[in-house]
Amino acid sequence: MRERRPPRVAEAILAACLPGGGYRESVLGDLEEGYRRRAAEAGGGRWRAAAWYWTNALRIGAGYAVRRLLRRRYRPLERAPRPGATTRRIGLGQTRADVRFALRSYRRSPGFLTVALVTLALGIGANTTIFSVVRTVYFEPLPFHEPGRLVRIGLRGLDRPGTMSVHTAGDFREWRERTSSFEAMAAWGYRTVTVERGDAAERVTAVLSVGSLFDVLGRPATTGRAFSGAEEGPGGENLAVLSHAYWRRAFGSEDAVGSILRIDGTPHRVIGVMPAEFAYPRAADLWMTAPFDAETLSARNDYFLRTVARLGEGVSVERAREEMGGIAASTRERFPETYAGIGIAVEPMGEWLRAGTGSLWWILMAGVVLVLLIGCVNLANLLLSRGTNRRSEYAVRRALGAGEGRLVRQALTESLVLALGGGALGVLVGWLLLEALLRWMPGGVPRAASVGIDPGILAFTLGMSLLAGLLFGALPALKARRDAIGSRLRRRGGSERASPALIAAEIAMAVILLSAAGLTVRSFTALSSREPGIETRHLAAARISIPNDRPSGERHAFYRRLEGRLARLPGVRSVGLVSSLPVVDFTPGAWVNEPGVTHEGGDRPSAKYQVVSPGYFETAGVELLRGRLLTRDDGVEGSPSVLVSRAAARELFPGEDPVGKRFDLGLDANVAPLSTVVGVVDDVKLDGLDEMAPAAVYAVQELIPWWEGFQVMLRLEPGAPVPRGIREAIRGLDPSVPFLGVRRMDDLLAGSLSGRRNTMFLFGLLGLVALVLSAVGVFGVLAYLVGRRTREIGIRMAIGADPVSVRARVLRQGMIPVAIGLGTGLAATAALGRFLESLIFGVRPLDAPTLLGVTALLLAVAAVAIYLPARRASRVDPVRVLAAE
Amino acid sequence: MGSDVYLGELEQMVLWAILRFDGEAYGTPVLEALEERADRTVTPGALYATIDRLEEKGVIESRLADPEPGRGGRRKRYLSVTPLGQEALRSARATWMRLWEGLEEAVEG
Repeated sequence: MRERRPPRVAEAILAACLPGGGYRESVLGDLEEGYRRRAAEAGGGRWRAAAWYWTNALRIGAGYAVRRLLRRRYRPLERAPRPGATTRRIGLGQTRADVRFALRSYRRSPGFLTVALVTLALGIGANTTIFSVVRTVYFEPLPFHEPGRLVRIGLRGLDRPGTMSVHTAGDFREWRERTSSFEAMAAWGYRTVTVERGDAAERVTAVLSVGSLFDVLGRPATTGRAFSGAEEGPGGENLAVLSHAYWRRAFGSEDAVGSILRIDGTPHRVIGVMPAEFAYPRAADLWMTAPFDAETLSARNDYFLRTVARLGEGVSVERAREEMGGIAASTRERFPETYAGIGIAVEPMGEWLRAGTGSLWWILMAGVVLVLLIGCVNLANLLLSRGTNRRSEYAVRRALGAGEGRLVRQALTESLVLALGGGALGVLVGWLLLEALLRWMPGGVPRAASVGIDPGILAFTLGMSLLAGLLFGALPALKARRDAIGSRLRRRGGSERASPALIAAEIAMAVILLSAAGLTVRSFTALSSREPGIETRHLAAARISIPNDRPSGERHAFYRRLEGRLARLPGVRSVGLVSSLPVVDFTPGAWVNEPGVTHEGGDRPSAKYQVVSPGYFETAGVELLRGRLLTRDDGVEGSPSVLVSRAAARELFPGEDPVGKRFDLGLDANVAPLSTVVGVVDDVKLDGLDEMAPAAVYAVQELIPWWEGFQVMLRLEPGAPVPRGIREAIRGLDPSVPFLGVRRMDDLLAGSLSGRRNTMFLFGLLGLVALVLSAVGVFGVLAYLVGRRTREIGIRMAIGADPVSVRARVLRQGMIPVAIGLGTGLAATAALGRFLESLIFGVRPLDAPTLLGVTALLLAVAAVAIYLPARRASRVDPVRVLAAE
Repeated sequence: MGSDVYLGELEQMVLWAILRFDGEAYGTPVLEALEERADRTVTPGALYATIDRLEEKGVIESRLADPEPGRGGRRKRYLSVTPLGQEALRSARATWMRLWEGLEEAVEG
């Protein structure tokens, strides 16, 4: 089992460091024993055990690696070149000497070493983490058989390329029967179902499969088997296949195959569990055979299916599109009413799976690369100032006969040794960050089951480390060369020119990262403060599920009695029923058909609809704007009446009074019969806080009697806790109805923003790291530069300069590169802004407050970083400075 | 003095722990024994370094056992104290006792 094995990466590192033979084996064995013992402890044992293993593996490994290096040093005779050895061997020997020299020199400045290693470990670690996700999401083939041949098929408006929407079973049947481009084709639809197992009941996301979804995708189950197309359809046994995640959640490690689950009241036999990385569609908890009869399977009025198909051998997507285009044209001809302006979209599957996350991970990758770059700039600066202090050392070595190339090589080796050390620590940091990411953002990382650190990722980390080493080592190496050439350039060396350029670059990169962070934070606050259209404070939602084998009259009676009982619970002000929770649940839509009105082209009006009890509006806090609210008499048997939302009034009846208008819902009046609009209510953001409030139609249960399941909304007294007696109230009415729990609406809404929150958190973190790194860098470089001018400042003061004007002068000069950096950074942010558009909401990429704030923040940081050393310089005693000459 | 081998404090403790397990000593139990009885936290890294040093000095020797499950199918390295090691431990103890003679009261008073 995975839990019981020590971290693979740490084990590999340790194994590489240990001497061979039984020795390696015994130490690895001991550590594994220690790991297992700790992992078996209760309460986060595995987490602590992994930390313990990593610490000790690195400690032991480092100990042996160093001892081996030193041992070599003390036994030069063993390593003497053999006769006839090539110059390359001598080169390697030199490298070893350079490495040893670098190690010794770093040991002498532990402060520098610590700063450098921490910077690199964080930078490289963050890159490792994000890259391991990026690689899986964007580069790894989908976990299906020959994924390149898989396509998705759906309907789309002819004037809206790039979109795809659900279709009917009738469409699917026609496609499957009339096409030749595909080897296999299957359709599926989501359904939220109640699963009962023993006493426990749970709402899960099920996928209804029509026609061999598993056959098309071609991926076998981990345990048991998947069902095939032949087993689906009416008359067959009800079968279910579980996703890995759901199996673990519901069964632990118990065997699920063969057990019986009651799904919406109907027994289903579990025949298999899919592998963890099989997540199609992503939200699926389980797949079940669809209980559709022949009539449902040819209907053209229920839009809920999505199709996935496998292209035939050698068939291109273009050819499939052409064929489907022909079918769409003939459908339009036969059903002009329904299919006017509607075409068929065929898209490769890979693109869609990625589109779910968009470019988020690419942008994050760019962000961590920027962080690493800022870190490299800092290190280059640090090394440059170290190099200045080592100028005499270079001169001596040059005098003793070291060539230019030799000195450059020495300097580069030092950087690379540092970079590799940072990279090794970076693997550890990256692994920790990845574990944290997967742990605290479940669902935030796509295809999480396939994400991990393996040799490929390690190779990437090694490459990143070497690249970083070359980057921050190049300038110091060139400087070593210049210093070696002689003293003629010494007085006006380039480091004084290079450093301001580095500062400017650093500030520019910080501007980009901080702007991205600021924008995501602003869009999150914009979203959180958005009004959903319902009054969510003191509002709770209880989920129940009535088995759908009950006759509709019985169901309605149950709901009506439940409403009455819950309203009498202490702390409850009012109760309302609604077919789907606003913001959180999916709300279905239907065509809006006005008698005698025909629509040309694809702009046929539609609206979302919610089935409610009359008490819903008061309970949820949806305001009535015109007319009256609904009563139970507004059903089929009374005078059919509906309410429309403000958006619906505007879209459906522009410029007219909606009250008194008549329409039916759906195709051939199959959703709701012809009804009269009796009032207008305020808009509710049914589809999520980041969406516009859609046009909505409200009808009472009596008008849409076939609707089966309702959520119960409870308006609570201010300050009252969520009432306890809900379960008992349900039991008292009908013990066989599962109760799925009650949640405060505020919490549910916050949950709907968790994806945004994750994005904000990741970017906020990157921005913070960038700010700290660039502040440290700017401060370090300026302190160093000003420090070098102490003598000049001393002379100025000795001949009578005023300290204030000296400070002002230093400040002004220091601010020049900062200003250039700010300008460049703002320009770059403006140019890159469009990449951020998919991640932000309610703010534009060029959001003035964000950019101004970032500019002000960085200016302030830079001003402090310059002012402090300037003040110190202006306080020096001129006599002491000159005496030191 | 009976032996020319000098033993440090940690080295003596490790030898003591190895003797306690009487031929069944390997990394993990030695580490635990030191933690429990000597009330001293020793990292595995420090322990292996000490064991290597002791082996170089010739006061302990080791043999590899058969592969075992529970530790990834890896073999244990059993440690035992050589006659030289026992001699060294004895002389270390004798040295300490000589040094302590007459001092107990001064320290405990």
